[in-house]
Amino acid sequence: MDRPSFAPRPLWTCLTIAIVLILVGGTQFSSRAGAATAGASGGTVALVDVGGSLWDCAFNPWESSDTFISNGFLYETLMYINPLNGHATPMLSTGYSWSNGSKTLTMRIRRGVRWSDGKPFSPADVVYTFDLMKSHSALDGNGLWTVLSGVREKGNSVVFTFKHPAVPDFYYLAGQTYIVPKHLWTRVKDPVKFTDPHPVATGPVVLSKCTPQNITYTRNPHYWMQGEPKISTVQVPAFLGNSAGNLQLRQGIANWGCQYIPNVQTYYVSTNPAHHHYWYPPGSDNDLYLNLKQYPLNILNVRQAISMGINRNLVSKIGVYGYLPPADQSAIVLPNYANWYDRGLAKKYNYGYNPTRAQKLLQEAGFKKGSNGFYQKNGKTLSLTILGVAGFSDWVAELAEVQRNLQAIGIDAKVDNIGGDAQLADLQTGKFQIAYYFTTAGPSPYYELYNSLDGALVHKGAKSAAGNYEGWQDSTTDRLLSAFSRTTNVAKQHQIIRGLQKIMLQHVPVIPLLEGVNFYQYDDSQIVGWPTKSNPFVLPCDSPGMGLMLTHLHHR
Amino acid sequence: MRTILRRAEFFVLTLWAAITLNFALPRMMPGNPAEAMMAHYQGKLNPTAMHALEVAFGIKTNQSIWQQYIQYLGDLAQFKFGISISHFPTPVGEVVMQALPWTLALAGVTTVISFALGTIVGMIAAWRRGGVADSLLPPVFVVVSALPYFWLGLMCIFFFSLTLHWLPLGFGYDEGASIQLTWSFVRQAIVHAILPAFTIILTSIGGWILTMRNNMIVTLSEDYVRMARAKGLHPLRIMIQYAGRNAILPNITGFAMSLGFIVSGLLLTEIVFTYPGVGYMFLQAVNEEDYPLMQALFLMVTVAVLGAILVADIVNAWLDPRIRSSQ
Repeated sequence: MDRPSFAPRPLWTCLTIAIVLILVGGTQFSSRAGAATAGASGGTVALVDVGGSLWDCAFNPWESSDTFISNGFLYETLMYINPLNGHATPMLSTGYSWSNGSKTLTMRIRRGVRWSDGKPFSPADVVYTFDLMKSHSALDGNGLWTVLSGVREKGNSVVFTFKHPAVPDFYYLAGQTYIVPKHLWTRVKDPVKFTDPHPVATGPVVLSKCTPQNITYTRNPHYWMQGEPKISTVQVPAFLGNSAGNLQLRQGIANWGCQYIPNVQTYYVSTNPAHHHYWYPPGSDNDLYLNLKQYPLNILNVRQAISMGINRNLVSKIGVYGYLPPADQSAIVLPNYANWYDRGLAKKYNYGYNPTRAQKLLQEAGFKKGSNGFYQKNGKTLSLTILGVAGFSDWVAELAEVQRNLQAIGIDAKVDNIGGDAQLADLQTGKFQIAYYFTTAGPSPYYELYNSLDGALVHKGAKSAAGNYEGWQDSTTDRLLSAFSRTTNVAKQHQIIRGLQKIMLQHVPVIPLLEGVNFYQYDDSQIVGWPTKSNPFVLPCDSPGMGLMLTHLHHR
Repeated sequence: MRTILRRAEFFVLTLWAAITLNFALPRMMPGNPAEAMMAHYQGKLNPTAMHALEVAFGIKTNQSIWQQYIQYLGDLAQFKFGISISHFPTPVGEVVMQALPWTLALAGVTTVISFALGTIVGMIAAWRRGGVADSLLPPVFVVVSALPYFWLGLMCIFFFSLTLHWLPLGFGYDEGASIQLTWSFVRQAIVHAILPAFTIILTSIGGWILTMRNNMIVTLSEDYVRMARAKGLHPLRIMIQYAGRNAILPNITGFAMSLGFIVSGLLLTEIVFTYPGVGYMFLQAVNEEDYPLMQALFLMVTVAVLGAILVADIVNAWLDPRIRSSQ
């Protein structure tokens, strides 16, 4: 095909590239032009939380996709329990008390609250909501009816009775259950498949308009909190990918972000250093789950060596620009739960990065370094495969660094990155050696410890694991966890958590690697009152705290 | 007539095979929708929610695979696609319809424009081989179509939206607007579509130019063109009716297929411009193992492509007497 007529092609190719390059170079300098004029005005909050799909305008509070568009903004809980510090803010309930050996919970219900259609809210709505979850187990995501035995109205209160003491379930019951209006939901044929396109709720804002591309909320004029909210509008566009959402934050078009932004300092803060801020509060740890039923991870020294042989700081820097703080082997998320943390104990066991000591631990367990540079025993190389998720690019980078660290202490480590659901399936059925996965958050260290250590959660026969993926079975642990669920005494709770920290440090059943964080950015050029590190009144990008947060925001 | 009948038989057989694959493939993937949903939530859901999800999605059914297949065929015949899992509890029909009109409009218009423009440019380039148009346009568009779409899209946003402020940053319409058939909304929608459409045409036109130009060069050396010249016909008439009409034949099938593929959406455009459409929905349905949504989307694409090919075969038979006589 090379005909003479095509001869000028290389020249044109070069010219085209040159022109494009000039255009690109030119735009770099002028991209800031419009930022000053765009921005929130008239008390508008514009939120960027990339969900990766168009809005389907379904506001059922139990809906499993995109919960934040409904939960907190529209539907409210009895209490707001701040996962950062365990502090409870009264919402639809004004107070509570435990009795009968932590088997009865009485919650006083707030008076004078109105549904957004004007009808009064009452304790009957609360009872109805819990009854719905009892009759439809698909709505009971937190398994409350596995511990509850009854819910009834008593004057202006609602009384919950439990099958056995269940103090930690208070978080799910009061803090994670969204109350729906009885007078409307009794007419719903199937609450599981109800899309709820015209939600009637008690929250600070009401739905004004929903299109697949954008949701507009306006202030609820009858909100029960006097004079709140002050902002008039909340806009939540649907973003398919991070880059478009991040650009809106950078340009100041949106003033609230719940976004992972690579190199946030340069990309976001430096475009408007006076007003662009970010705060990444930790939530719960991301753990390396070790299959305790298999050789060689059933050997304590190997587990200890792994925990000590990983440079968590470097893993965080390489994987996520250091945004996720290194986790502590005691499974206490710091600084959130510093008052639960046993510093002396952690110092005694000391799982700080120490490759020399890690190798010594392996040698003590009878491993000898082979000619290939890896430790071995009985002619078998010490080799381990870590199961990761291919879709999470930050995890891929983190595990690559873990692999390098482990190889450096003489463990033949490999990484296998697969699909997220396939990884979870393997995790739940014990088909892994090491797997990198989340832990479950809650308003105290108990929740993470319970979910990663409780003996009842393990995989057994056909029953897949609901936590405790490593298969830790220990009567002391189970006794401590069940004692925690029985007591409301703070001193006793602290003592129990100390006992559990000791188990984490002594036996290393799982290895906390990094502390997961909530990505949160805000722009205070127009709207102020945002939660900050020094004033963490809510966890800013998490339901239902996002609703309570709106009542603190106001125009500058 | 026999040709068309045979084509129709082939259409039905392929459709059945595609529908069956559509049923089998998602079920051969590892994991299940409840696990996919848990994975989507990145640890924010309590592990006990797994049970609730399985109940809601109806995953643990006691039906055998054959019963499921029979029910699937029955539902398809009635266009019943069920409830989407990734958008639970919204029905699949609603989920698809919120995106499909945007895809059809944007992809349809750009495919037609790009084919028409590409064909004309290719024809002229071949007609004046070695001329300015021939040495300039095909190489430029071939280079442009080889650029990564992501990069090109972002550059256009930086240049036309952020720097010049001529066009919006993305989306299909203004934030906070409600979808209605008024002039102001349609105008908004057109303004928002300009940049996505421009980038799509820019990257897809090169292929049409090149194929048309090459077909045209071959036909130009045919005897009937020489005869037309000898007869002293007007050059425009020779270019369009003698050479162009014959050169376009092989492209008809290609064009029909790309018309069929319109319904599969424009994944990259949708991501870069945050434009509503079924492309991203497709990806999401596969990632989240949303069988009902996946089945509906795959079926749509299969039927559209097969239908388009069938139509192209008929059109070809009509345009080209040789196909008819060869039977």
